Amino acid sequence: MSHTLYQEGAPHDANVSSTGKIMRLVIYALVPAIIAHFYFFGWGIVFNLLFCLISSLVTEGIILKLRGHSLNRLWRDSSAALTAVILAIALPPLTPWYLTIIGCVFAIAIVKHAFGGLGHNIFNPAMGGFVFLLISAPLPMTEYIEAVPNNYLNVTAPRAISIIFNINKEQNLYNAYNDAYKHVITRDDADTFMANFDAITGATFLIDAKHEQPKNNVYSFIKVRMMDLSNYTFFAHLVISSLFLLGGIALIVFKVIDFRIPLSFLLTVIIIASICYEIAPNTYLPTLYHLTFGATFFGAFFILTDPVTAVPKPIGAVIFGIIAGIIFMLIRNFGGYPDAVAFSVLLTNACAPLISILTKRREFGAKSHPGDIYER
Amino acid sequence: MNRWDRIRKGVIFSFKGGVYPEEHKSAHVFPSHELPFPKKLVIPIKQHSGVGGEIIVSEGQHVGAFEPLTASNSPMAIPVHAPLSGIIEKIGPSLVPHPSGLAEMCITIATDLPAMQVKYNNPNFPLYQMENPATLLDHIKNMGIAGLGGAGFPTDIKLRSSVNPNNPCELLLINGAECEPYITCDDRLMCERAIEIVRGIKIIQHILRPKFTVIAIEENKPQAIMAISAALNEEHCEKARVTSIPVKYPSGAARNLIKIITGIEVPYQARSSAYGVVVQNVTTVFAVGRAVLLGEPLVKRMVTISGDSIRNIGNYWAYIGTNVRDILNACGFTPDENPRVIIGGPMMGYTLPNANVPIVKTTNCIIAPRGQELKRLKPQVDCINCGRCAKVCPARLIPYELHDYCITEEHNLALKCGLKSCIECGCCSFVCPSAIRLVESFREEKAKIKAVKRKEEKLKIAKERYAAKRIRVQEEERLRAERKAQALAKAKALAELKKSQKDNTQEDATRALKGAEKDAAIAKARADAQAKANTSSKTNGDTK
Ligand code: SF4
Ligand code: SF4
Repeated sequence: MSHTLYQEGAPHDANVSSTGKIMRLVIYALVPAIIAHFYFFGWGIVFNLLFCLISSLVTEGIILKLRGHSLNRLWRDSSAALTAVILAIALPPLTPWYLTIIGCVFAIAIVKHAFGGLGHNIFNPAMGGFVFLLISAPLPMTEYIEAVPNNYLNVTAPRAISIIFNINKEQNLYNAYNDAYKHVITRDDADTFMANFDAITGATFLIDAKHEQPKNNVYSFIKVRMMDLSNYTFFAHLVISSLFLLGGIALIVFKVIDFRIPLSFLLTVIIIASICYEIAPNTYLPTLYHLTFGATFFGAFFILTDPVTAVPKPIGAVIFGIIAGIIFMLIRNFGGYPDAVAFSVLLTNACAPLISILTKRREFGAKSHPGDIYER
Repeated sequence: MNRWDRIRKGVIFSFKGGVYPEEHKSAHVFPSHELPFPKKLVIPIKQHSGVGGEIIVSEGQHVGAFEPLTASNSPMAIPVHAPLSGIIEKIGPSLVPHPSGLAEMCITIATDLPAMQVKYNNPNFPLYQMENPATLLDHIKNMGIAGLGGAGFPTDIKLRSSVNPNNPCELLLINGAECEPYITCDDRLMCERAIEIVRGIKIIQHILRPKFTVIAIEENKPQAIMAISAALNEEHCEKARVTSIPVKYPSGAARNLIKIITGIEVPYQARSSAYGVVVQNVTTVFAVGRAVLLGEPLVKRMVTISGDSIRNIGNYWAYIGTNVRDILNACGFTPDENPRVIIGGPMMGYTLPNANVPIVKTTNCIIAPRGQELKRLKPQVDCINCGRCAKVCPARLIPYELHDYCITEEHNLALKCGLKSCIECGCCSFVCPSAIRLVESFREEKAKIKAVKRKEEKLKIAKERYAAKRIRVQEEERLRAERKAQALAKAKALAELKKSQKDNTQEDATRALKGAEKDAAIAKARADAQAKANTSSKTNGDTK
């Protein structure tokens, strides 16, 4: 036996988990919500995903090469793909193509790699890219599609593509609107539809509610709007939010993410929202609306829990979630932006290193003393 | 229920952290075997943690089986013995099992043929109940017994610290957890030699007089649990019980085991004996039993040979000093490309750079895995701060933080983060999705800190020596100045005396003499003051 023996450090065995696997599991957990999104909002999400994935992966690949890493990191850590998917879901479904691409390039190149790449970035790349777009192009970034059943039949692939590339945009939007009208007619009355939708796209419910806030008219606004729509908008968002919630719970059950951040975040949101609603129901939305509309669950389970930009220590994670919840509610109820996930995530990310340094873990045997064995 | 009731009833606690690696314990089903008779044995003189003894044999000498080869008065040095009779072929450095292929002082014995074996008679104490614990402890030391669970800490020292009326042993904890994957030698030993183990326990009970004894065995060893329970009954071993504990790595680490059995967390800075608990490994207890009852020193142990590259996996009785390569060949080792030979378990063991090394007292397992049976390490990527490592750390450390300090060589911060408490169990590296070499960095950092400390100590000694030397020189100077002053004064006095003699008045002379003495005193004081001033100015100069 004259073989040279191979040497390595202990331990010699490893768990099956890998960074790439974790990221891919997160992506899989998003799939149900994406399908629901497709059903309610049409083909826009598909093209968002496509553009985001391509531009993110290409950017990531170029930067990896420039930094002298091998390209198989693309698959091995899969983090660029996750960023792309999160951004694709966060963006309005018919975002112009150049905005999508700029957002992705910014997210990957500036927010992630300029800070040192995966593991060193301070801010969540997807949210960084989103906020960048929101600030630079506020109008297209607040134009969402109205929720209509089987919307993929109205906002079809050719229509979506031409809207995204701004070819015959008005005509296509009108066609989609017409089709939607026909679809709704078959199952509901036409008047309410006409009264509420003057186009297939429009501001989100949260934005509309925000406009009512200065008039102290939120409560009656909800009443009117919800009655008229046969609660369809609400229903659509409820379904999507529930799917985010289910996906998040699955991730917790499979130990991909820790329960502390989502739980503390959601509890904080629920507490603050309830208090505000109790005090001034005409100015602030009810708690349930805060949870269903916007990206509350999406943010709680999929964005805040991005390990790189969160705090992994148990107590630190709870503090992190609470701070995020407070900022989130402050922006939603008192700030100018109706959906507060992106900003609250970025602001809390900025606190994370400090929280991490300031929280300590109880040492093993911290409180024991030699007489313990005689203890009653 | 108070703590004692819980311990007596076998109620268990749990500890935070830990992992569940694949067990690979198939070798436990085979009864143990003897290995082929070795022709040559290489005995390293230091096989435990501590210092090696002095060699008391010489080349060419014939030694009997069980004859001591080294001796020492130092408490940290425990002797080694000849496992078989034979002629000492060589005394000199030779490769020992070590991750970096160290060569250390070894004694090589060319063994006599099996039929020609002669035995050296060591004292034995079949009636140990009549003996003084001190005698037994000395005997345990002379029989070369060290902790066989891993580190190899001298057993007698561990026991001695609890033979103390101020710090008595309340709970004797026998560690049969054997939580590392692959290793099954303790399991096999408990199944096959339960009676002898229980006898060993009784001897230790006689020495320590604990209130209660718990034998902790992981529940994946039902046969061992049954065998030991039966043996406890048979030997009428009272105030003892077998407690089965859940399977989890590393529940066999001393502090975690104490936590599981008693619920007490013994901090890493403290010794468990201060908390009234003594932990001994089953194999150590077995060796104690044989040493006391039969006078047989620690020269043979059970070793698990396992891994897919081995045809006949199982547990084998190996003499200390048997060549690992010979053992592997005897068990049908068929290496693949890039073979690995791991000494110890897959979590805490190390790969051998060269298999031409002997078995030592602490070698419990040899693994020759094939291909991806034990996953080869993936290339490392950056830490994503996921916190998985902290979640599994049984010492409640925060490995990713510690790792940062270790690779940036922030020694003080690393120590503050609890580097010393790290038991190098490998859980953190095991779960890390980025395949970061956490444990490796901790080991390196520990070594670096040790080196820094050693350097500092050397520097301190040198400084002290220098300071002592300067004081001595100053003292000499002062003495010299004093002597000079005295001589001067004497001369002056003499001169005055002569003068006064000229005057011829006795009174004057005595007065002058007194005056001279005063002068001398003044001169001396002045010299002192000057010397002092010198010193202080020098020290000032130094500190600047
Ligand atoms: S090797 Fe050290 S840091 Fe890592 S899990 Fe074990 S005790 Fe904790
Ligand atoms: S398990 Fe690995 S990647 Fe996760 S925090 Fe620890 S060192 Fe970083």
